[in-house]
Amino acid sequence: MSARRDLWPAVFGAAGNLGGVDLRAFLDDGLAIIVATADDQLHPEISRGWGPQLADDGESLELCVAAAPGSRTRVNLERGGVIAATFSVPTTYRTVQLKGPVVDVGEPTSAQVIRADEHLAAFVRQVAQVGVPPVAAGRMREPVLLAVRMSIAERYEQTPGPKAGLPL
Amino acid sequence: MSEPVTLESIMACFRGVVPSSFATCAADGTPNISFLSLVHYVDAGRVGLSRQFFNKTRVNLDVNPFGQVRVVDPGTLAEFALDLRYLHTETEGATFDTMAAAIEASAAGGDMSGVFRLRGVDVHQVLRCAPVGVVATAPQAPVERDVLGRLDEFTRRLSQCGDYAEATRTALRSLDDLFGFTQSILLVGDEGDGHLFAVAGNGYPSPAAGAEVPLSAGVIGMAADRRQVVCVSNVARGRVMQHAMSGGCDSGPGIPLPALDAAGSVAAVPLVVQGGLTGVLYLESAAIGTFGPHNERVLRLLGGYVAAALSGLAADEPAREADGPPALPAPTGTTLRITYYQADDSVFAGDGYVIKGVAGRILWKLLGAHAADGRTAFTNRELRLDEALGLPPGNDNLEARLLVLRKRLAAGGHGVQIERTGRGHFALLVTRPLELLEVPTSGPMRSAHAK
Repeated sequence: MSARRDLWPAVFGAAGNLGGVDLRAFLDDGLAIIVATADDQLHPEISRGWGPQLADDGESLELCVAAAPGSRTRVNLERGGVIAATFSVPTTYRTVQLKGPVVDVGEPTSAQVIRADEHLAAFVRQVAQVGVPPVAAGRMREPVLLAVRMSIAERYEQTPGPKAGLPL
Repeated sequence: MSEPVTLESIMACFRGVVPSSFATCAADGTPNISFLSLVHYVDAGRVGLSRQFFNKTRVNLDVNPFGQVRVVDPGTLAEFALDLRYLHTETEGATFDTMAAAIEASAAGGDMSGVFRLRGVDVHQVLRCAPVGVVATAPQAPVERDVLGRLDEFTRRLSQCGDYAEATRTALRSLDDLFGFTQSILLVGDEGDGHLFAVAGNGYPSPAAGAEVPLSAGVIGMAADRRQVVCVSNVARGRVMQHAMSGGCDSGPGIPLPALDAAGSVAAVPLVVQGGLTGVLYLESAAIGTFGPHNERVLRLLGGYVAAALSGLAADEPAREADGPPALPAPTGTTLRITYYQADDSVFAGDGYVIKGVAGRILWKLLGAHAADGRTAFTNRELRLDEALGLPPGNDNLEARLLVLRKRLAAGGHGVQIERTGRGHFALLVTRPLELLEVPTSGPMRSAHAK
């Protein structure tokens, strides 16, 4: 637990700055990632994200998003727009939220799929600590993913509590 | 896209076991995600979302009422997406009270009870409810499906009970074998003295009778105060509800309220008769999610039946001749000193605590009458008419107090027992010589004993 707490500022920086930090270490924590998109009628749609990877300059992020063919998430992502993504430590609910425009969308590469699977494995280990059976947790990654690159324009504290929503 | 399902088919998702993610969208098309501790089923077309902290959500809903919440079935981990349209916010009323009680109960005992205060309930119309993903598990049939048959049997059994003690025993055992509520405690009391006392327990290794709970403590106090069923679906997530229970209880000397070492889920059901609180039925389960919105209505019905049945039995006055008290040989053996402390009406047999409060006064009265002229036969009516005992008018819980006293005396094995001899009649049975010692007090606590 303490290792995870120590990791947090190392990943996001004391002031929440993501710049130049390798998210690989963060992935070992098996974060729960929730992604939200919206259509042009402002209807939001929730999905899950897997295998995030921060760009070297810390200004953008790649991740795979569960997006079945014909799903609203896929339609929303393919039309561009802005997405939001939360990253939560399942055992503590410590959460941050990133928002920014979709820069690129495409079918995931094999490397991205492997990263998503590695993330899922870490996620399964993590949620097992709060009583979620591994078999059930393993089903939470939908089979069809879309690779998305988002520019990081906004960062927020999102841990449930009075500070939720404050900019980082 | 998955086929829609009804809210009633996913009631397990509304137990508050797994946090829900809620997405809204700003006017410029930027989504926002927040997390909810509770999504509440209002009716077939509406849900209530707890409004606690999420300011951005508030701003977004003011300009764009559309949202989506994802709820999780804690049993199967199947996820469901609910497309929502914000209707209005409630800061009072039945829905608000129910959610506030659930959230306060979850936070009680931790250091966040103030932080997790419910500020409002955002009521949303559910535009669509559908399972997420291709592996989504088919919704389970409603848990309450065959509940009518079990309720019918429960009421049938209670209606067969001829006296108060039998009714308490039957009620708790039936909760166990008909509904699977394996741990239960029946507490009764009146609002006047600020305490509830346990009359009977089921499923615990230690007896419950005589344990006291202040009306301000934990989920029991909350249910009593609000006259509402209070369920905590996930005690672990609710910041160790047990702490509030055990830490807040004035159990009296020697009678702790029994409790599971690690309860996963708890419920407190108020017992209300003619608008007045007569007690609380407290239930515990080792499993997470046993109690929650999915069976809240059943719990309320069960509480209503129990309250009415006990009230009817307690109100009965002597309707027929009682059996005479059993003939006993003259007391033999070593003399037992019985000490009565006026300060709190507690009675000790030797060094062993027996009872206190109103039941202590009753016991002391019986022992005094027995010592004076060897009397053994008594009636409920004479106790009710004895103003010195301080029984509250109306709902005096006399039957419950006598039952607790009977159980405490039987458990103590002191050679003093109470035995029911007929409706409204009972006998004091003494099998060894007694020495009665009254320890007076002149402090302000003596007001009840001014006579």
